[in-house]
Amino acid sequence: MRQLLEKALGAPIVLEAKDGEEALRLTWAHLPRVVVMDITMPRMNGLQATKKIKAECPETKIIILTIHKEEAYREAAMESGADAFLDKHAILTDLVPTVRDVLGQPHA
Amino acid sequence: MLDEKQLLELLANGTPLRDTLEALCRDVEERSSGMLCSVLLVDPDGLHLRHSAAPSLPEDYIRSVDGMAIGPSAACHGTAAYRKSLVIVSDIASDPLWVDYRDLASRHGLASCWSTPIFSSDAKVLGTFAMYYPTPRKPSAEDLEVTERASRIATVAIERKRWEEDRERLYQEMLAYRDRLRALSVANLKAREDEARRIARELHDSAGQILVSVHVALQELMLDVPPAYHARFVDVEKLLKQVEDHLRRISHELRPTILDDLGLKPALEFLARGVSARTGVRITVDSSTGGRLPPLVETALYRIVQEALTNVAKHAKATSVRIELERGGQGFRCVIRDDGCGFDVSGILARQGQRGLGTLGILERLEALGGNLQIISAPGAGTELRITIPQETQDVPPVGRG
Repeated sequence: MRQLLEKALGAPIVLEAKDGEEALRLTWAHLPRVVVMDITMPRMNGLQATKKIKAECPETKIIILTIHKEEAYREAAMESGADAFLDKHAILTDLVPTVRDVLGQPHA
Repeated sequence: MLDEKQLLELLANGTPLRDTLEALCRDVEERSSGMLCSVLLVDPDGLHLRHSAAPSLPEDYIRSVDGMAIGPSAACHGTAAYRKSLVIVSDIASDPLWVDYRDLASRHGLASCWSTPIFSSDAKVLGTFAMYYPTPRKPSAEDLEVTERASRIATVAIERKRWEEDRERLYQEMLAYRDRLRALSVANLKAREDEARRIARELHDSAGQILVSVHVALQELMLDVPPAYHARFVDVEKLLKQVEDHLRRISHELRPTILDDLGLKPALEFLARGVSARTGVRITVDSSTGGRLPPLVETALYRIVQEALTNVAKHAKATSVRIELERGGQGFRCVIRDDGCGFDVSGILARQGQRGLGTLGILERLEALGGNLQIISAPGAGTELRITIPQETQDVPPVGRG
């Protein structure tokens, strides 16, 4: 995913967090323009982390990327303040366009 | 003399055994001036006699006799208990049976004594009943008859009391067993739920993530292989998707991840959609609980609704079901109402008991949380299940008495 994003976006820095709490720390430290967030994570799940990030850094765009397909997860993601919801199966085709979408960039 | 009826009245009023036996002694003592009575009971060790009642004998004498060993020459009482028969000593001062207690008796002006065993209804010695006189004498025929009757009445009193004690002990044991059973049931439910959660997570998340990686890897590979092979890749992807769907279904049947990740209402809506799709019954879920409930309550209510919907699908012939969740000052309320055929609740209870209602699993869950189930139904009038769970439900559920 890192390669995919760096290659497609020419993004200078892509940070990785291993759980929700680390995601919060890194986000607050680096104020990235976009966060790609899993739901199932140790310590703090992606929905809770999204809520907290959006409360502190509303400018940061958040894409929920998950294996959960149920509509309830999509609704919960939107309620938590996420900007997009993406099925992991579509990562190859949809991740980069979705990142561009939330950043308001034209598609390549 | 105190008759059995009066005695049973005394006992029924909860009079302690010692008081009843003292009343018996006093009653006998009234018959003859100077005569004194005592009751000794066999110690649980079976080897000694213990003071029980002797309302008129001096303290010092009572203390000295208390704990007397049962044996072949142990005054009147110990000997009567040993021989299992009446022992008569008309002159304590000269009788060898009293050699150890002679001085004690004379100090207190006791000159003659007879003692008879008090037998249980299965002929075991429970204790002894004794009569003393201040002068050397043989018992009159009436003395012996009264002694005999007094010992029989003592039998009734002692056995009745022991029966009550046994009953109380058994009752307490039963309560303790019931509490242990409840605690086991709670632990068992929790263990089953933890296991279901663990396996569901493994299937859905761990295996699911790996399968997604395989899926993505296949897509990447497909970019590098000639178009002639694409159809084969698509076939493999279809198979992969079947595996994923299968694992996802098993995982959700075990315990939907939605319940832990998103809470009770989304989980119930998910459950309702599944049941609706299978059965055609329209199911609505309304919740005014606002936010998450305690984990134990969420699990219990999810399983309860699951069982209720299974019952509806099996028996109710309903077209719609409404599920309502509420949080009140007292706790949580869940109502499950269907428009099906209904049934005669009291009739089924009378014929088949709780089992017939198919709600044992629901009751097991509720009992663990101190909750309550009410079933309102009548033939042709649908069925309504009203469930309440108290607020103070903690992680370690109370094992209440009730």
